[in-house]
Amino acid sequence: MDDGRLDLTPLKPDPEHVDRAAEAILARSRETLAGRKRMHASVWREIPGWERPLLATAALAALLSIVALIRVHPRVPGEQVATLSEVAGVPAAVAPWVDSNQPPDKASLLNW
Amino acid sequence: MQAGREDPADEVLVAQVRGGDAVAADRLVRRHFPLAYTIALAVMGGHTDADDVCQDAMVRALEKIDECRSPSRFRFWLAQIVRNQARNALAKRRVRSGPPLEEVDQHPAPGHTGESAERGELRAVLLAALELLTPVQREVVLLKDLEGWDHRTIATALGVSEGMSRQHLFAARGTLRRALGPEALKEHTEGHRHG
Repeated sequence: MDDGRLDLTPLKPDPEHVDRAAEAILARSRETLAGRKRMHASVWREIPGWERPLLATAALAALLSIVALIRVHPRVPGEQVATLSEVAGVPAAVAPWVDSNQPPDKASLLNW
Repeated sequence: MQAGREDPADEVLVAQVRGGDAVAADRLVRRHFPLAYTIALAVMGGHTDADDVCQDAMVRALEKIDECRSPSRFRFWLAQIVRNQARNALAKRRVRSGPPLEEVDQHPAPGHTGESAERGELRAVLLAALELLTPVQREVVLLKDLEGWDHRTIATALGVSEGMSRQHLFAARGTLRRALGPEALKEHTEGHRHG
């Protein structure tokens, strides 16, 4: 509740005033709105038109990429696959322990 | 304010207007014209140009609606456009060296020919009294007593503190009461429904 509120309602535009103003504003904005509608409609019409060419282009690009990868990195027959210790850069002396996946016994540690 | 299916929220209408929906634009304009008019009145000091300024601002808002970054806060965005449009109109009038606003006859704005004589007379008296206020006082008292905004909303919209909003309201009401006298202003009391 706000006791001090003043009644200023005579300043409010009456419904006829709002009607006339809204009609005038809409009349002046007709071209703007029509332009927006055309643009909006054309965007939605374009999307289905581009769907198939886009999919075809994507598929072609994927195919070309696979061919290119195969040509750049051909698999050499008999090529040895690197072990985990080689990839990790483990010293050669320790590599057998790493590759065997077993902890070294005391004798091996003392000898090393 | 929650909007139902028959009364879509501002963000829905703004999205439709962006797509060129004239019906949505009409609803948006009708919904916010009273607020825009109130702000134009506040800035223009009750001058009859307030109606033209308000219409120009709303046309501009529909043109630039893509720039409304928070559609749910459309009314605040529109209010700022109206405020700027009104200030520009005042500045142009000053440049043209027209008569000061205080000397311009306070006729009811165009579009009020159909209103009752009593309402029209009261309106003219109120407009003249509003001239005694500063622009910010006018805006605060109109947003509070005519639009029913709370101080927090007014403060946000005008970029002032809530305390300043209260001070402006207090000063504005005092000036209006002194200018109009107790008979001219009906004060709302508990149970009196604000229109």
